[in-house]
Amino acid sequence: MEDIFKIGGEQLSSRLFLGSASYPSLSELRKSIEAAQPGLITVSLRRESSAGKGQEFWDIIKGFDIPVLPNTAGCYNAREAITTAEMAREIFETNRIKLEVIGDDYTLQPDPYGLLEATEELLNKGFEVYPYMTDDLVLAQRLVDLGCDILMPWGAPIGSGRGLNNIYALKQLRARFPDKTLVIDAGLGVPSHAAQAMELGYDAVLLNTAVAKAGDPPLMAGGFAKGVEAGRAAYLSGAIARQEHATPSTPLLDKPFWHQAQK
Amino acid sequence: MILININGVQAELDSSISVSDLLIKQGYGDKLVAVAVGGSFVPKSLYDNTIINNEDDVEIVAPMQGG
Repeated sequence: MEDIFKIGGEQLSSRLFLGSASYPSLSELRKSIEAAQPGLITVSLRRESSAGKGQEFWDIIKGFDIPVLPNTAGCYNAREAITTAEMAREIFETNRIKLEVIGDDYTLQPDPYGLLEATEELLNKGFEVYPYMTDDLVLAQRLVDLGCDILMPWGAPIGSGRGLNNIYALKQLRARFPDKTLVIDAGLGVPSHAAQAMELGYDAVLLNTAVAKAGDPPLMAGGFAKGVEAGRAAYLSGAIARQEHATPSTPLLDKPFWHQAQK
Repeated sequence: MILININGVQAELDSSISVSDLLIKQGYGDKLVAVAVGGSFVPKSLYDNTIINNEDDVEIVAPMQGG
């Protein structure tokens, strides 16, 4: 079954989006990308000294010919996020922006008000906004009202590895926005979390820490790629309904000794 | 003489200066960077005409790893 994945008019090769931060080394990052073969790689910006040490990282990413998704990590208000997005667009030559406006230090929970403010302005400036958001239904509706075609609710707080904290809310988002691209962003820990998100009908998952901080990042990256594939296949193939009783899988008609014990 | 902040570090310059000249003077040359002055993005096309004045905050950023 052909399963073409388009986002923002561009066809992507995978429904796994991989972050590029926090790997033990650039070598492990490279191997992890090779193992995951992600559809998008997230990148960021940092203050640059004239000594310029970031070039090696960027050379590695460019070598993969995989589209990048710049983020606005570390921004705590709409203005910072908008300026960061504009700088990212110039450097990375893409209209895509993973919009993060953080509202709480402890949970890194996004600030919905700052997110809406920044989203509106960035959409007006021609950006393709990937909003990092909570799983709040009304916030999702407001983002869609502004013109967002992509929503990225968290599974759990960034780096927590908890998986999908609120299945009910995530199911509601999928049911209420059947035509929007929904991506689980953040909080995943193991490939089964990614599979679960895909089984719910999410279009993709975005993760970083679960791979970068694993004991063997490339091995975990490959595991996540398989998890995403498995979950997507489950969603497309139509899972059986859960029930409380057993149903024999082997046909019993004409089996030897069938019901003999009851005589 | 003017005092400005470049990436949060104070720097002393003889006089106001364009973004283009500042990048050359500070050794960024043709590095892949983007610039904001006073919290606002300055596109490359405006480097020559954007003047940095006393007490301006300048951010110079480059690609890095991100999640």
